[in-house]
Amino acid sequence: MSPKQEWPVAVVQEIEGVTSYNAPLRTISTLIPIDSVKFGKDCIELHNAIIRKLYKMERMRLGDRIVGTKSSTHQILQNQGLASELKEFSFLTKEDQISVGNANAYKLNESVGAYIKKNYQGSGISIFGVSAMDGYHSMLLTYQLKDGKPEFTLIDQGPATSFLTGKSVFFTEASLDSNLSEYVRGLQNKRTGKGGKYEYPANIGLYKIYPGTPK
Amino acid sequence: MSRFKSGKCFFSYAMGVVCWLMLFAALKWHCTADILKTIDSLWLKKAGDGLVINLLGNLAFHADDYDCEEQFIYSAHYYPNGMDGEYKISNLTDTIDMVSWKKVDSDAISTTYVDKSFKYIVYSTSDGVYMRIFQK
Repeated sequence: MSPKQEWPVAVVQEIEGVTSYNAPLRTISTLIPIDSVKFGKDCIELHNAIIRKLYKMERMRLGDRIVGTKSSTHQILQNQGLASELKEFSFLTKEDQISVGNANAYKLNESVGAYIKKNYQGSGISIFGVSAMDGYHSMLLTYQLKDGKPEFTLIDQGPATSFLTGKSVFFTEASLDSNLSEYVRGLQNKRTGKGGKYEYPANIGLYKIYPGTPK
Repeated sequence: MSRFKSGKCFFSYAMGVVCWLMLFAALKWHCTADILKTIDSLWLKKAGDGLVINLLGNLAFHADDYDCEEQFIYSAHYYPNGMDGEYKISNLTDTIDMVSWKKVDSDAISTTYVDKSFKYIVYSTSDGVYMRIFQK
């Protein structure tokens, strides 16, 4: 594995600079019952804004969704050698079958946390793009060792997942997996849609974001 | 003294409005009722595929396929150069060409419409239902 895959730990402050005010602003927006009034960035806008900050490019063109199309943020980064292949994690039903279509999704079929730990090179910070349900939700995930102990941080726009902070911290892979499972499980109603009209697949997509220079 | 009284009175009214808005927000959040949308819908009529128009001639997109996230979208973010970090708020009345407006694509997350100049994508994501406008 090439040594360019982890970022210096100092980028955490740059990420926090982008995210710190966003979740409170989104939370205030939800208290205003007027649809057109939305403060702060939505999930993909926030994800893209963090990526621009990481690469120090204010005007970098990214996708309108995180995965799933030729013009998605993942595909744009991968085309420039700045992201890994997409790793997809499927879900199991309560009956331990792979969840397909809009079948219930009970737990992850494979550990996201273990995969991240396995791909960590031992110093610096790993940064991943995370898609839930083929881009229904976009998040950023960081992983580092602090005093030798693992620390996973999920970052999004709030408020549904993280309320005022925009980030959730986990110290074990099991607690990260459990949080991601709970998120997808809790959206069973959404996955079925109105009269079963559309289906969001139960999956988590993960790609590693590499340091480098965008073309 | 009277200035103090009128200030107190204004504050009471303002708090009343905030309380009503919070009640409406809570009802909407729990998918019980969307009072403001219901009031809005009383003066709208259909104007095309997914479009509605109000008595003042303002055009809106009626996103009605999304359970309790049904809404009327009057304005959207317009990205002149794709999603490069820069956008402006665009009013649908001033943007949509109703004659050439048509639906062209749909998947779980989005439905795409076009007119002669722009592409309009309606998303249903963790942020609810919203529209973005791009150059064609």
